Formats: sequence, structure tokens, C-alpha cells
Amino acid sequence: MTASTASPARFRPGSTAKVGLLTVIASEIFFFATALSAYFFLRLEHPEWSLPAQTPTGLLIPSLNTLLLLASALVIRQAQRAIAADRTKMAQMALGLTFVLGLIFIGGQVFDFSQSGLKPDDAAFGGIFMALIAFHAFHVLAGMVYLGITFARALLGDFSANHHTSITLCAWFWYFVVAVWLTLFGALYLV
Amino acid sequence: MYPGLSLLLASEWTWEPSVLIGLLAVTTAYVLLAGPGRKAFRGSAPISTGQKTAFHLGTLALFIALTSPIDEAAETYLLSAHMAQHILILFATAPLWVLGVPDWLIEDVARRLPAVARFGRKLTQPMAAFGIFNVTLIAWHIPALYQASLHSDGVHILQHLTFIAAGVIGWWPVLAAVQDSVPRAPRSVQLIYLILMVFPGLGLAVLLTLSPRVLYPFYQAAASAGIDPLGDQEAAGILMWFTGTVAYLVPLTHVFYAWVHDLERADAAAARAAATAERSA
Amino acid sequence: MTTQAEALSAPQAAAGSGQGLLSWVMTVDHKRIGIMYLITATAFFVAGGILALLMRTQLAQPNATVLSNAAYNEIFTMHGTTMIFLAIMPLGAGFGNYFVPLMIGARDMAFPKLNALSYWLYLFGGLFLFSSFVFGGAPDAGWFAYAPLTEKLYSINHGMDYWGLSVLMLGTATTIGSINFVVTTIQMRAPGMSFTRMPMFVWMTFVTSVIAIFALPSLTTATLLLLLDRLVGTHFYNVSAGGSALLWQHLFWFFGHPEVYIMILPAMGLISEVIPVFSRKPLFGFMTVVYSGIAIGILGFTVWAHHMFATGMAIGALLFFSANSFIIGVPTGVKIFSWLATMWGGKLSFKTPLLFAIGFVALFTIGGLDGVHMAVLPVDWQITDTYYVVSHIHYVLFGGAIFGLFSAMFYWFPKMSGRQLSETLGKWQFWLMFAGMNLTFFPMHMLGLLGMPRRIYTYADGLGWGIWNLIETVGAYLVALGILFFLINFFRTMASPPTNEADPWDAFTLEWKASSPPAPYNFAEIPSVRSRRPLWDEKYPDKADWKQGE
Repeated sequence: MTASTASPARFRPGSTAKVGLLTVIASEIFFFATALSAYFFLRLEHPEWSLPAQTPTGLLIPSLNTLLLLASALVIRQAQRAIAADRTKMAQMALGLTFVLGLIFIGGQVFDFSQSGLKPDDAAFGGIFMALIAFHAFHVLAGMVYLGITFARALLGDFSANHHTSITLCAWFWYFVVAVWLTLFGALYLV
Repeated sequence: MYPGLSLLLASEWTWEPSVLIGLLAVTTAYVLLAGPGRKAFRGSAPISTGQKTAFHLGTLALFIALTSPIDEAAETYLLSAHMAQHILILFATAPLWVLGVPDWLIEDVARRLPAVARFGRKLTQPMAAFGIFNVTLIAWHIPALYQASLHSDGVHILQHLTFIAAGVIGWWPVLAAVQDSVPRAPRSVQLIYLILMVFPGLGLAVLLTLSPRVLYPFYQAAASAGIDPLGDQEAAGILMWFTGTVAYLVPLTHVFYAWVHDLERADAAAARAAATAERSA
Repeated sequence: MTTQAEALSAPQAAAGSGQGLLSWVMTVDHKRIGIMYLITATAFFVAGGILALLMRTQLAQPNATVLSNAAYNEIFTMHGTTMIFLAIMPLGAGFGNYFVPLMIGARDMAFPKLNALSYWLYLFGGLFLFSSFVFGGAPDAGWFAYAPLTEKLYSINHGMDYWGLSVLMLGTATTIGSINFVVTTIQMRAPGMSFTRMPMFVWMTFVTSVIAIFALPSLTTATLLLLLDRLVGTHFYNVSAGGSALLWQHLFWFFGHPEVYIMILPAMGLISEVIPVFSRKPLFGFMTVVYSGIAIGILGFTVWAHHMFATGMAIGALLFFSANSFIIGVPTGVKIFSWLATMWGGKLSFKTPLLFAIGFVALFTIGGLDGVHMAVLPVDWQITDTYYVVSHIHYVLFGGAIFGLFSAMFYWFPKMSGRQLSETLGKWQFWLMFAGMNLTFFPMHMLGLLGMPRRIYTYADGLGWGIWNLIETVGAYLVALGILFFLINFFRTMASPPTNEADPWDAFTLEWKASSPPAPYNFAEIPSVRSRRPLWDEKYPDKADWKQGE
């Protein structure tokens, strides 16, 4: 074998870690898709499930939480922009702020749930509603763990304009978590 | 088998002036573009017969969707007819129109309106296009929104316009002419895109088909015309199911073999380059 | 070469490629992980086979008392769950782990530590499942665990909890493994190996992994909801409290149907490697065979309710699923014709790998035709949940997947161990298995048409079922004898000194370039590829594939 006859790159997705994370996100999207399909399938039998009659606490907290998450997506986008311009301090602050926003979101969810009076062993509605919110919350927590680690590494000076794959991956996962929430918010509260 | 058939056959053509004028305008514009209008655009070349046919077929599909008995049936009794109408818009008109747009037109418009081109580029990125197409599709099936389109002409027109726009955006990554301003996706991305496009439509169609109750109260009126609204809803679901899933295999097959062809051509070019390098070494 | 090997093996030893049990426990080397998968999966396969023999012994005669009805329920549930999740899938993963990196000219998988995690999760999940026999009773509601039978009310002991928890673990292992395969295939191919030059086994493993990534989440959802119902008291599948029993079926089969393609596509990839080598011809219509695999994958997501034809769905939906179940036969047929066309005019060498591959083609065709029969709605309404279905399943999964996996075992054994399995014992094994499996599963067509339901622990005398059941039991024991021959073959071969032949079959693809067994780093120099058959090109430069275009 002498000269390489490698074909020119048509579409190179980038680093192995990026491809890996995209595949994980694809898998999780299908998880939420099937869980949400289960919700709609059950709902077909139950026209009485239309909102907001079923959520005792109404739309206020979920709406605020939605705005919170949307804001957090913008903040983490700032972190990406900042590190790409080598503004490490700004990136650190943005990562930290995203974490805090995520924490408030979780707090809001827990509070809303405790007020709702819904129990998992109520009729199926209680169960599927709680299950979807809980599944999402777990993913937020996972995202926050990743954020926390990335934040710590940022504080330690691990990242620079040329080297910040972890921040990119963290941000992608966070966008996924936000997108899932938007879908759940629409499906559970608005439709 | 198909409960609405007799009703469909009994419906009339609707000769809505705004629709007719609009379609005529679009057709005239394209014919002018292909003919004398070409001179106004830099870098223009004759439009191939294939492209012209595609565009006009797309317009014809829209004509059928909006004036044939499907339209009347859609607005009165038949969800399945309304589904057929939307399918014509999303899976016939939109892709055919995208196919019909010549590359030089896009390039020259982009040159004159760079901000518009940048915006268009963002919208037609695969992930954005996927999102816009499917969110539009799903949103209009939410009972409250769908009912609104049936009760209000204004909302109905908005619905059709957004379908046309979302359809064009959705098919752009796969079918747009090859150019650099508002590019289509690489072939391998097109493959993934088409495979993923199967799933949102699948979910929606399954829910519609298997639903034990009528989701859009407007169509309960069909019962008075002797149609079983639930059976009709099921037929609508099947129609959507088929076009939204299995039908994607058609473009997918084309894209797959085009991708293979590209790879083989690239490999051959690389082999020739290596052979030349070897000979001169 | 030797110095390089020595230089590289010192740090490698610390990473778990030395000798000793600990090095195997700590290993992240894809070849060792592959071997662990293969050995573990073979052990589970034997266990599942013993469960099958117990069933067949009970059914050999009417009104037998070998097994009680409760024991029988546990045994058929565990047989199905074991064979599908603990045998066939991991055997495919084992070969994939070992050979995908070698075939693409890589040194390991993209994520070696995750790779190890997949294996250990699998082992733990499997052992956890089997421990249920000891701790209060194995699951007994069938491998597809229909609600509401699986609800706490009707399945009081913890068997179904064991099932649910181990399915979640196994599903996670498969998902992680699939992610690894996808990323490895996209990122780590040798220079010159574009997608059109990638071996068919790598392609099929790739497609399988994508299917798994899309399908397994549905099983996760279904199982999580079941466990929540059983352990927390939710009512997802409880109709009287607003749930739906059909929901389980939809969620399960949305996974379950693609699952069967997850099981068969790797085996199809495997025989697509064997048949060309033993016919001395490249595979016919390569990229079309690839596309058929992709089409099967996509269509596999549109046919799930053909497992649910008798549940009272609307006729339109039934027709849709029925039509798609016919359509999916087309790409499958394309593959069969490709294998036949590859052999046609080739110089056939009827060694054991080729025998098993041809066996696959014949037996899978029968099983596939069974499937097409059942896609006809009125036929299915008659024979669903009868032995006709059992016949179909086993023709495609045993005659198909298992035969394909044995083909690969005989083909790749020399690469993995440096020794060739005995041809004599191999041929005995093949013929025993071939005759035995037909004796066992062919009469099930008749039994199904005669109305014998599946999953019954005994049957009355005088129905005309006894004679077929007896024949089937004889067949099962023949199959078992064949497997015994394999085990004897394996142990005898491993006890004999290695010959370390790198390329005993004069094969075409990169894994045969490495030594037998390969060094821990696989290739001293990453090979560069100019065609689909890089080793053929190297060995026969005058007849090289890349020269054909010139």
C-alpha cells in the first residue's frame, strides 16, 4: 500500500465525542417520543383530560419555568460564544448561571407538584403526568451534573478558544433538555 | 371500504377567484422567468424541461387541492378529503416547486438580497427545516387549531400558506438545486434526514387512525350526510400514515444511490490522483 | 515487527491485555470483550436450550407430568427471554465487538471503557434474571409480558420485577453498545475505506445499531411504566383506572418488531462475509444489499401491529400493517437472491462455514414465507398464537440467526484462537442441527393449522397432536446432540496446540491481515484501502478489485 487513496471528506461530523453525544441525544429523543405517545394514546380514551382543568395549580408556574429554561438556553449559548472568543471569565459565569437556573427550574417543578395534589396511584392521568415530568427532571439533573463538572473544569482553566469541546457538548445536551421541556409544556399544558 | 367516496364524488369543483388568480399569477411568473424574464437575472441559463414540468405539476397539484371536489368535501364533511388536500400541498406541490426552482435564480436573488439569503439559509439548515416542517404539521392537528381553521376562512388560508412555506422549507435540504447561497444538505445528511422524517408523521398518523373517538367535533356533521365520522377519521389517518412513512422510501432510494454514486466518483478521482502521484514520484 | 510488538505490549499489559483473570476483568480491549460476550452468550444459549429440552420433554406425550403448569410457564418465559436477550443479541454483539474494528482497520472501538461497561451490564442483567429461579420464582408471563397479566394483581410474586429490571439493564447495555458501534463506524475507518468499501458485516452492524437506538427506548418506556405500575401503584396498563392494556402491546411491539431485525441483520451480514469467500466471488449487488438492509430497518418500524391483528383494531389500520408486512418481504428477497447469485458460477468450497450459510438461506426462506402467510389477515386470525407462529419464529431465529452465527463461529474461530475447529465434527454438527431443526419445527406448521395453541403445558389425547409432538421432541434432542458436538469440538480444539494461521480461508477483508489471534494493537500500521476487498487486492495484485475499472 503506497499512497493513500482516501476519498475526500464529504461530511465529517467532527470529533468522536460530538458524534457520540448526538447519538445519545437521538436515543433519548425516541425515549421521550414513546413516553409522550403513551400519554396521547391514553388521552384518546379520555377527552376529559384536556387542560387546564386537570392541573390544579394552573399554568403560572409551568409557564414561568418555561421562560426560565428558555433563558438558560440563551445563557449557555453565551457561554459557548464567550469561550470561542477566549473570554473565560464570562464563560464561567454563564455556565454557573445556567446551573442556577436549572436548579430553580427543578425547585419550581417540585413545588408545583407538591401543590397539585396529584398522586401516582390516582387514575392513569396522575401517573403519566408525573412520569413525564419526572423523566424530564431526571434529564435536567443529568444535564446539571454535566454542567457542574464543566463549570468546575472551567474554573480550573481547562478551556480556551481552541479547546472547549466539553462546553459545546454540555450546551448541546442542555438545548436538548430545553427542547424536550418545550414539547412537554405544549403537550401537557397547552393542548 | 372508504366511507366518504360517494360524498366525494357528489361534491363540486369550487372556482374561487382568489385561488385561480393566484395560481395563474404563479404560473405566468414562472413562464416569464423561463422565457424573456431570464435576462433580468445574472448567470441565468435555460431551465430544463424536467424542472419546468416539476414546477407546473406542483401548481397543478395545488389547483387540484384547492378547486377540485376535494376542497368542498374538506370544508364540509370529510376529514379524509381535507387530509388529501394537505397531503397534496405538503407532498406534491412543495417538493415539486422546490425541484422547479433553478439554481441561478436562488444565486441571483441571494446576491441582491443577502439578508434574505442568510435568513433562508438558517431556515433550511437540516435541523431547522426538520423542526419547522414537523412542528407546523403537528401544530395544525391540535384540535383547537384545526377547528379554528374550519370555522374561519382567514385561519384556513393561513393554514394553507404555512403548509406551503413549511413544505418548501422541509423539502429544501433534499431537493433544492445545487448552489452555495441557500445550499441543500450533503447526501449523507439527506439520508439521515429522510429516515428521521418518517417518525413524527408516523406518530401523528397512528394516533389519528387508532383514536376511538372523533377528535374534531366539526366533522360530527358528517353523520347527517350518512358518513361515519370515525371511519372517515381512520381513513384520513391511513392516508397520512402512508404518505408520511412508506412514501419517504421513494426519495430515500434516489438519495441513497446518488450518495453511493458520489462516493464512488470521489474514490475514483482519489485513485487517479494517487496513480498520477505515484507515476511522478 | 517483533520489537514493535514487545515495545507495545508492556504498557498494554497494565491495561488488561496480559494473562490472568484480573486482566480479563479489567480489560477494555474489544477483542477480549468480544470473546467474553461470545462465551457468556454461548453459555446462556445452552441454558436456554436446556429449558427448551425440558419443554419438549413435557410435550412429547399428551397429559405428561414432567413439568407442572406453573413450572412450564416459567420455563417458556425464560427460554424466550434468554434466547433473545441473552443469546442471539449478545452473540451478534460479540462478533461485532471483535471484528468491526479489525474489519475497518481500527485499533479498538471508539469508546473502549463504555464497551466494557456494556458487557458487564449484560452479564449482570443476565445473572440477575436467572437468579429469579432461586429467589421466589422466575417470570412466567411470556417473553413479551402482556399486560394486564403482568400487573401486580395477577403476577403476585417478584418474577416480573426481575424481568423488568433485567430488561432495563440489558436494554441499556445494548443502547450503549449501539452508540459505540455507530460512532466507531462513522469515525474510525481506515484511509480509503469510504462507506461503499466497508464490509457487509460492518454495514449491517451499523444499521442494526441505528435501529436499536431508535427501538430500544420504546421497550424502556414500556418496562418503566410496567415497573411503576407494579412497584409504585400507578395505573398505566390498568383499564379500570384509566389505563390501557393495549398500550403495552403498542409500546412493546414498536420495539419488538425492529428487535427481530436487530437479531437477523447481523447474521445476514455474517453470511454475506462467508458466502463470497467460499464461492471465491465478490458479493453480488453489494450496495443494493446494503440498501435492502436500510429499507428493512425503516419498514421494520411500520409493521409492529402485525403482532396484534387479533386485538380488535380498526380495519384500516389492520390493512396498513398487513400491506407493509408484505412490502418488507421485498428487500429481504433481494438479499436472498444476492446470496444465490454470489454462489452461482462460483467455485464453492463446502466447508462448515458455507454449510451453515446455505442452511441459513434455505431455512430463513421458509421462515420468511411463513411470515408472509401470516401477513394475510384472515390467515393470521386463524393461526395467531398457535404453533404456526412458533414454527415461523424458530425458522427465522434458529434456522436463520443461529445458523448464521455458527457460520461465523467456524469462519472466525481461527482468527480468534489461532486454531481451526474440526471440519468432521463441524459437519456432523451441521447435519444434526439441520435435520433436527426441521424435525422439530416443520411439524409445528401442521400443529398450528390443527389448532394447537402455543404456551400450553399439556394437551389432551386423541387430538392427533401427539405424534407430531413426539417427532418434534426427537428433533429437539437431535439439535441438542449437534450442540454437544460443537462443545466437544470447541474444547478439543482449544486443548490442541495453535497453528496461528493468519488467513486459512484465503479471505478478502482486513481482519485476516492481522495475526491469529491479533496483537493487542491489531495492526502495526493502519492499512490503507483501495477497494471493498483490500486483502484480496494485496494478495492478488494482478486481479485486484481496484484494477477492474482501469
